[in-house]
Amino acid sequence: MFATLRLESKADHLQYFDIPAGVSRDGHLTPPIRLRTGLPRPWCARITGADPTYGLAREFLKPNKGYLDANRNGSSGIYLYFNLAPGIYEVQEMLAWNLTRRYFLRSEAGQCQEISLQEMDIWLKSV
Amino acid sequence: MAKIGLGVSVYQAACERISYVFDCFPRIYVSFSGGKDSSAMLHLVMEEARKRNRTVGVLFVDLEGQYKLTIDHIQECLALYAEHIEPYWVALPIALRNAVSVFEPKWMCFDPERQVDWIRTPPPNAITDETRFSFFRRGMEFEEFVPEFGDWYSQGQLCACFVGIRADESLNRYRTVNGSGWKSSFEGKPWTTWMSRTLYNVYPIYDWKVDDVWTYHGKYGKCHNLLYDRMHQAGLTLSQMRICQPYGDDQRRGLWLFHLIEPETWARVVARVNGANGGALYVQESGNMTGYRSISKPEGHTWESFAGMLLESLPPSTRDHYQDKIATFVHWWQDRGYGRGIPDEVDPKQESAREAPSWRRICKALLRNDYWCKGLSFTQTKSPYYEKYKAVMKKRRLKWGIY
Repeated sequence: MFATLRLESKADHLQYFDIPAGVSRDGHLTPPIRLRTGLPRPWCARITGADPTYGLAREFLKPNKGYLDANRNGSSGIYLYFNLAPGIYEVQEMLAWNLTRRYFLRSEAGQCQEISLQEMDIWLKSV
Repeated sequence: MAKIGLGVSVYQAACERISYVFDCFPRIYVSFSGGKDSSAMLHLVMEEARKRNRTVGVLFVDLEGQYKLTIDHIQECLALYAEHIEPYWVALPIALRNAVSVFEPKWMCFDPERQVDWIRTPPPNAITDETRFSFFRRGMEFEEFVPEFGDWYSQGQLCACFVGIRADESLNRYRTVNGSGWKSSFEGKPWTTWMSRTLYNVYPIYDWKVDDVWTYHGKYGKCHNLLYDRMHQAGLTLSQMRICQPYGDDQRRGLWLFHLIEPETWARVVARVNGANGGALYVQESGNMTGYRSISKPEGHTWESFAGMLLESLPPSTRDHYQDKIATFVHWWQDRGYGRGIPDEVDPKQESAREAPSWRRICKALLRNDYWCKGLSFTQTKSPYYEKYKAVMKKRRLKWGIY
């Protein structure tokens, strides 16, 4: 049974900025470009085991982005919905537009429950 | 696009899909209309629910003006699976499209203010209390109610809504199922569509043909809506057999059948739904009567003047509604190369492909009573915002100088 996790993408409107199309100094047309601002964003990754480089081997999940509760400029109310199969996950949630918190989750029988780092370590040794 | 066989029968494939959904989704409900497709799907889903001893929600939106045989069939199905069903028989005042009248382009089923005229009273187990659903407001559209119900039913958990549509039915439905590239699906399963928040639509019988549906009903001895037997007796082809409320833009072509199949219900429908009788008489016609196929204008008129004449013949509220749409349409094209106004007519192929504007297209929308002007590339305005839309359009029309 899958569980669902909802994370708010705060300040989603600041995730990208657009440079419009124009003409360069030497007369060439430059196409419009969209750049990432590098601000933190929420994510959720399934932990599949240990990784020699990063410590944890993770598979990042692709969320569905919901705009139903969004305000006009997209600074709040945009939510990401993740479907979690049974397993252990690492999550980054946004507390404010530049403030995040990372934690671990266990998904089981359609429910999510936060677990501690110690519990996660025990689980990791068992796999 | 070529079809690729899965190496199993469509029945087996549907059972596997249903089983997968039961494995993955904590909340499940079936959107049930009483038609052949949703009946077949309900039987399949309930077999799985019985096997797993799980309860499944069943949503039936009662549209008041429905065939008695359909209502009987729904009651039969709900009784058959009573121990595993959480029924939601919704008989609330919902606004429905009435494509057979310009005086009442929308009508409200189970309108509490017209209780004496109701075609039939809802059964005792129906939901008639308007406060039962937190999201409900009187007069909301059917198209708004259904996804809102899904959200409400999910209670924040992952929720699957079984929908009995088949890709074989129409290009639109094929597109709904095969939405690769634009839709979001559950775990990459193309027969699912993410709707909103935690709600997914699931199409387990998407690859069935109409023959498969009836083969299933016959082979497994499942109960079906007896209305189809009547329709068969009336000489309808399989594709003509539709059971949904018959006053919609597409459905009105089957209106003539109502009085043949259920004359006792038809008498009440005529008294209740504005234009039903006229619609039944003329809806099979083409040309200027219904706007289907080719239309013609009166001698001495241009299409523009003909559109003006048609608008004058409409009741004020409907006229104003159409004027809003036409003003937007004309203004949009003025900004895109038609600064001196749109032409009277262009190549019919371009018109039907919606590549060029013309007053003939506008006349066609008016004659067809295409209330939401889908023929002019508009979409339906959401009901809570309609008043705001009217206020905005009033200002815009003044600014643009159109109407």
